[in-house]
Amino acid sequence: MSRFVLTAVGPDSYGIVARVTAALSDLTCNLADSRMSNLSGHFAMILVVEGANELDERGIYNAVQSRCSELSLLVDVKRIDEEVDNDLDGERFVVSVYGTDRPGIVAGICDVLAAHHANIFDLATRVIETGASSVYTMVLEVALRDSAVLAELEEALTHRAKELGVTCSIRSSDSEEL
Amino acid sequence: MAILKVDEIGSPVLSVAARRVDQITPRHKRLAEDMIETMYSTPGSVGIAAPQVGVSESLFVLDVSGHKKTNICHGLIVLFNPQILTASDPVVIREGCMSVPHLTGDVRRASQVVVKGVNIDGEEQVIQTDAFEARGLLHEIDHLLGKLFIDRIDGPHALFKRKRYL
Ligand SMILES: [Zn+2]
Repeated sequence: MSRFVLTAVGPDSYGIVARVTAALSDLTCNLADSRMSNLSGHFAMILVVEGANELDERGIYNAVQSRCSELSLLVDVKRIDEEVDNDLDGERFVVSVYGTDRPGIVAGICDVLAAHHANIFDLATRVIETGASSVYTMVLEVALRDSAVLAELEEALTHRAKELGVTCSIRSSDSEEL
Repeated sequence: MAILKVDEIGSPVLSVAARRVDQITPRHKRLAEDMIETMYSTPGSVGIAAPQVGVSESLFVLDVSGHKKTNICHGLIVLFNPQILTASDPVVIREGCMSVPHLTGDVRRASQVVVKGVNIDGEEQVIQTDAFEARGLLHEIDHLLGKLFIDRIDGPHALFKRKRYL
């Protein structure tokens, strides 16, 4: 079996997912993991695709483009060679950040997270226009390798948020077993 | 008594509505005992519905005693043919389920419920509860309707991977 990361981005329209996945289905590929979202009118998809050993990047690219020729999709296919460590260990937290839009909010907050070994596994940002100004919002899911550093992390985030002029909070997102 | 094998997502019994139990027989009593033992012997588990152990009949067991999110608590509940009479005040909580061991998900459910059913002695029981016990009842009743928490998920970004159920 061979694995690939496929990214495809283009102006949103009906049928993008249907066509891209039909092309993959024609090649009897499986979608192992995927995330797709409409970002400011552009539909962006990132997929991990698994298929037969003899598949190659060019073959997948051509199959997708031939199904989607009139969609102006930007498509990229890259083979994944080694098995990456998919480490989901650690206590889970949600971090919420918002404030007046300015450069460096994401970089500033994520720098603090990295320094505390908080592994980001999901992140979304949105800009909300509120008449006079625009407000930036960011929500992240992180796994904290060592939850003993939580208090220290919280303090560092508050400090950095103050420098950036934004509000930042962190809370547990552990699940309840039923 | 015996510890039963728990069916996992993909097993057809988890996706069909369970049959109503008209007569509680010794077989049902043994099944309930085994479900209770299975629940107590699984770390973290607070409930099991019969379809989760491969039996498509309307029965679940639940015990949320001692859980940090529990408020009103009825201790061990064994209920046949449960029906939701009222449900209100929805809240979102991230749930895990023994039958969906690799995922958790944010699910909106009522935090105030009144549920009616029949207990192990064949008597009608009405349970008015809140908080985590309400969530447990609704989660188990969903199993009896052939629904997993994935059927109630708050959106595509509300499903999360994890290593394993606890
Ligand atoms: Zn369950």
